Amino acid sequence: MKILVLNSGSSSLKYQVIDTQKGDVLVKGYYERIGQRNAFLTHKVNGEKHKFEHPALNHEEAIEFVMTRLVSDHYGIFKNLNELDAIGHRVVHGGEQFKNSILITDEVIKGIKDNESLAPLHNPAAIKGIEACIKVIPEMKMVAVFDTAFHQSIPKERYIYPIPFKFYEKYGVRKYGFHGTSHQYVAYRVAEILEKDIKDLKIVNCHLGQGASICAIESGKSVETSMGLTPLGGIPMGTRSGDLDPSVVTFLMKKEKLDPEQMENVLNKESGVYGISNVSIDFRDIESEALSGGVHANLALDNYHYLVASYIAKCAVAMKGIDVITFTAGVGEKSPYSRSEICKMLTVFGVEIDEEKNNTKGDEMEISTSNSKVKVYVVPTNEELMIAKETEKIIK
Amino acid sequence: MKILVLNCGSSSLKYQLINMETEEVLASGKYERIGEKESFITHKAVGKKVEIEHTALTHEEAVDFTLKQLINPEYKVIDTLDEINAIGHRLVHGGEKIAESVVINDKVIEILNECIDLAPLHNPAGIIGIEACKKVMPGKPMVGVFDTAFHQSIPKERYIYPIPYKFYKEYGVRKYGFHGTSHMYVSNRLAEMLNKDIKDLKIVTCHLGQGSSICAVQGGKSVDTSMGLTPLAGIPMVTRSGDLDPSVVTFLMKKENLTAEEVENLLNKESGVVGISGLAPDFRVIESESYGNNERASIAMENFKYAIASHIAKYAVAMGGIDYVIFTGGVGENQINIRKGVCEQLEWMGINIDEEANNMRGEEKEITKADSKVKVFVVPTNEELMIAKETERLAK
Repeated sequence: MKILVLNSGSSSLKYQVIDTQKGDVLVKGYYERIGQRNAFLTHKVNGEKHKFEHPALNHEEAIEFVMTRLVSDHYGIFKNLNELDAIGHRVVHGGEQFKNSILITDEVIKGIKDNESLAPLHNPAAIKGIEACIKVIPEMKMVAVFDTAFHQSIPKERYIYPIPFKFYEKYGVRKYGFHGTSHQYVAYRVAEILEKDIKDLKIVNCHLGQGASICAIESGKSVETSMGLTPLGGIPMGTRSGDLDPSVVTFLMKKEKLDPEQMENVLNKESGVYGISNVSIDFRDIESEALSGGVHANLALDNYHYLVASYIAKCAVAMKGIDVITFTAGVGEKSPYSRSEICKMLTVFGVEIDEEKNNTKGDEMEISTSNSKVKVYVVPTNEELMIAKETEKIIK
Repeated sequence: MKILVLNCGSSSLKYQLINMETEEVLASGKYERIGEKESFITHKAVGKKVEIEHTALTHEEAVDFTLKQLINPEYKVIDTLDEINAIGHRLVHGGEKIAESVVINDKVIEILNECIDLAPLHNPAGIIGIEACKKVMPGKPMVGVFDTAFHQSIPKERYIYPIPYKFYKEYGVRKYGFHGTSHMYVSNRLAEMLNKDIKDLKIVTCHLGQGSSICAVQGGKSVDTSMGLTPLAGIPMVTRSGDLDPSVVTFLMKKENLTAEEVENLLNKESGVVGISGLAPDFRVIESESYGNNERASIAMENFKYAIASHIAKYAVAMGGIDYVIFTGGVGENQINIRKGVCEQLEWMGINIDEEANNMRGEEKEITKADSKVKVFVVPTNEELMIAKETERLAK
């Protein structure tokens, strides 16, 4: 099947067409500055990149133009849009309503809108993408794949916050977790690599990128994850703080006279590894600064590695043990240093990595020694492929 | 030696007179409602308990009247006040300047003043108590034992928060930790019971009471603890939330139009186990309700036990292993099923609880089986004795 995977931002649109049989990406692209006159599209097909400056005042115009690229003689892959089997939309927040990927209907659209207060930036953008597609290709089957859905299997005592219960009932304040598509993809992929039934595995997946989250996957189901009500929760990230003593929030608001939005901004954009190091928002810069002796860069990374390792230990409590640890996403795939530092702290749980094997960037491979009680793998994530597969499964 | 231990609140005064040769408490009591006409003292000595209504408009008057009870012929424990060799003050926040117990001088009072921002209720009360003693018993040696001091050995990468570094430099925003005297007492007491050098031990101490904190004690030093900038942090407590996704704080402020003080209040007084269960702030009640059909009480207890077990696992990362786990504090010493529930979640780490041994309250004893790789003990805490010992050591 050929599936168009769409990821709509408030002023952007990312897409891939995937042949699910082989897992090949036939074409991909990125529309930026939608809503502005200088909107442009970067479109990649047959190994060649093409840039089109084409105003798109809304998502509908953007989708319309992307469709003309897909069937164009020069840049396209189809003769006719009928060759496209379905569209898979990445949607961030499915709340408690969506526990699986689902065929998009009016009711589903309403459900996504109902969860807007939990993802005020992302859900409205997804709706824009979905509604634009309905207008441009009304007959096409579409599926919504949620970032939160995979985590709906987390038991209640782990997703309820120790705050007045009425806030859960009234506003849905609870742990939701994110990156579900990535956690699910990597967990199933590593089971495939190990040639084991995922039902028999206890996996901790560390999705360490600019945003980062850790997930405990037992028998193929998420039973714990680090992100919370929002993607600010959990472990520190590039610029996000992760979980904190809540008094830190109120203390700083009082001292610096910040309102809740300003405070959120500080914790989302000026904190994390960047906040401590004050070096860069790019992990690679911080790592090279740390390795050349930068005191704050070292402090930031040591703090990060310790909190990642601690969360892996927490996941071990959630599953009463760990069989496999997987690293994925930018830092997880490409930083031998971070992987090594994190794994060293887990020696007590029987984790032993082979430094030579670990010296890899972006390869899908085992990095633990043959003695290691817990197997450690690098598995590059592929959320688009997961969305395409989910879409295929639903429309079949 | 006889040591008077004082714990000053803003309108209260707790005290014990301890004979250091026998570690016997000669007299103990509490002065309440200091500053009001209705102030009264509850005094225990020589097997008698008396309640006396006696107006104390200041802490000085309260200290003066308390001392008179010690030499009151009806239940005297000493002949003259000269028999008191020294006074030990329980103090809360020493910031980064106090890393151990100290003989009180002007410099110490200055530090207490400097840290008022970090402990706005407790430090002023501590100062008032010290000043009152100076007036009533001039020249008597005094020692300050700080709740935060024991945790000053925590490495920087664990006490620094992943937020802009300037907030650490400007306001001292970092993890401080509390209950230090209790963590220090029970870890040293265990080493004594085992007849081992504490330098060789990796201990996790779980102080579970109205407030709760967990501490990793390696070689006799705190190397991580769950409370943070304030005692709101870490694991959930009876009415406190513990650590959270910071977005929960700002989300609730926006939805409920709360000020920073109001949300602090909510997280300190209406959250934790009480917040989830909706029951009164009594652990025994919440626990017994959780065995019935009260779903929320049961979620609250499971959430609490899981957070404790997760923190213990985290400290295995901090220390590269655990030799001993200690339960202390009201809940830790008396709630059999909480200890059992926590230990069961750690079976995979080599904890094997002996249900028969565990079936007791308040005793100092081991509760794991002989083959348990990690040994678990109940050690009733005694912060007053620890303060007295520290005072004796420094006042000699």
